[in-house]
Amino acid sequence: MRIRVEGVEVEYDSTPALRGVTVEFEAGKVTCVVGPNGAGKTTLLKTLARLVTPSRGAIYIDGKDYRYYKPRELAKLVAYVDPHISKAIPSTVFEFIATGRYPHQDLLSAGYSEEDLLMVERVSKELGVHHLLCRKLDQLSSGELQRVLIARALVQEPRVLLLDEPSAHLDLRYRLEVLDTVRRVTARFGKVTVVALHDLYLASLYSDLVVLMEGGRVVAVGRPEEVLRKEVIEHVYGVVVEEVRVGGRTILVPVDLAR
Amino acid sequence: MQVYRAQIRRFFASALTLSLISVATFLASLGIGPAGFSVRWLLEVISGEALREAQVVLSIRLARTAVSYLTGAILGLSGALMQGVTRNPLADPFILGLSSSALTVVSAALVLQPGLLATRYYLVVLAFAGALLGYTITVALSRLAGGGSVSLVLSGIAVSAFFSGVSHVLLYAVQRATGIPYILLLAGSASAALARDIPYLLTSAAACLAISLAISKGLNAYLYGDEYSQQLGFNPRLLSLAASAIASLGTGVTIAVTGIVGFVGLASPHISRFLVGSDHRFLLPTSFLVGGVITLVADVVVRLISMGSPYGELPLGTITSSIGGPFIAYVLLRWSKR
Repeated sequence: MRIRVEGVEVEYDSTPALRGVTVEFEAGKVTCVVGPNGAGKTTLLKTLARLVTPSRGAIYIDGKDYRYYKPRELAKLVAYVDPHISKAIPSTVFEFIATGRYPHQDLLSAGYSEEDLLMVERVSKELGVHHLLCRKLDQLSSGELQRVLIARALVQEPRVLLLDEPSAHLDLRYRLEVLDTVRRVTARFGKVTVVALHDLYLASLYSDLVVLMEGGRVVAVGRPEEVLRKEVIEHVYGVVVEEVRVGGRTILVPVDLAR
Repeated sequence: MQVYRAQIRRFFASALTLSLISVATFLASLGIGPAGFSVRWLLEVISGEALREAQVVLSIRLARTAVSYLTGAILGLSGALMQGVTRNPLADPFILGLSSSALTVVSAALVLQPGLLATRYYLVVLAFAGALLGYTITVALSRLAGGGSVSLVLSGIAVSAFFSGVSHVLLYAVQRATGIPYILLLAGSASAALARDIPYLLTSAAACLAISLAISKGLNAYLYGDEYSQQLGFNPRLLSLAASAIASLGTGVTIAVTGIVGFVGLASPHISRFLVGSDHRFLLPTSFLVGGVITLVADVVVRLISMGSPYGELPLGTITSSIGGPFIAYVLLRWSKR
């Protein structure tokens, strides 16, 4: 599977949010989209999930324009993880995660099949949220909620996994664990995974490909060590960066604002 | 998967218990009249030993009982739909102004054409249109005010205050024209229920239940956000439109037949969520049953209190409000803790 984004432009109330974005995503690889606030990371993800319609350009999934997919067909292919969901009406973690099975069910079928339940069970164990299934969503810590959100997306068994800031609110260990799971799942099931991230260090650890964005444009695409370079980051973020060598890796550390 | 099986078991246990309570309350309601409660009388009538007059009495009581129950059941269902579709645990046809606007349209029509009171069909259609009108104004107002859950409730209060004021004036005029005490129209009463009202309630109850169950998965996804339901392949606008239309239809029918019965639509979904959780496939039928039981019990209480009173009957809405008021307080407190 391969997703091709071609000259996509998106406008919010005639304010451009994406300008002429052309980029390609491949199966089995984790692509991290990085960039300053307002660079268009979330908009790119939402456009890929068809929650936002491009005003120009097109997106092709395996060569087929994705506008020709029916909503339920697309839902079987693409899962988008929004860090913000409404919790106003109390519901349990199980009720939430299980909704991920809906695209795979008949529209009018009465309940969850054995297969649906097995999937929920397997994924929730894998992400360490199995003991939370009976809890209410609003009783979770933000780290637990983050894992529950990702579990729901994996239960949907998408070919394309779009994650918006999956490491936000997670502690040191879960940051690594969640992204590690994402990378493992991506490689094992050959998913196309696109992750919007703020943390450049995590991006350098877990991505096969990095897309750097600024002001709605793609500034650089390539392997982490090609894109995440001192002069590029200093230019895009307006900071002074120092390179530090730790255990054979080069890490960029912001030390000051650019004057 | 134990969590899910437990939920299914809870649903069937609740549905069974509620159905048994419904049957028991139904029988109790048939046995209660101005002369008090009598099981023997009921048995005699059912076995055909009693006089013809008693059969007539029973059929009147049957109509009243069925109308109370169905009114409550439809309101319980409408309340559950409205809370889901607004993602607001304080939503209910009464609070969001649907009941008052439906009543206003109905009473305006009665002022112009008092004879309409005899033709339920037109009243039902008018009340449906009125409920839709009130809901649309409330939602539009709350969007203009920023669209939060507080602004929705406040818009509802504004809309329902306005329409209930207007409907008071209009109903006062109706009272002068028809002689029906307007308090019974305003606060709801099943005392004037007729057997020919039952088909309206029954068909709309069945239709509302069937359609809402058909979209229940979409509603489950809708709870977590418009975009959330969209990326699962549902159409959030269509869902919200369908659910609002069903809730308005349900509310409209109950207004046309019974009048305003407040708070059943608010309390039933909360009680049901406590019993079976938030999955609409379980929640909607449970809320239907809970609403029916609450309202029928309230109607029985009305008849017990009014027994032997020379001033006629207490309106049904008074009892449901006095239970519902404290219930709102309880919901508010639980809600604000988060």
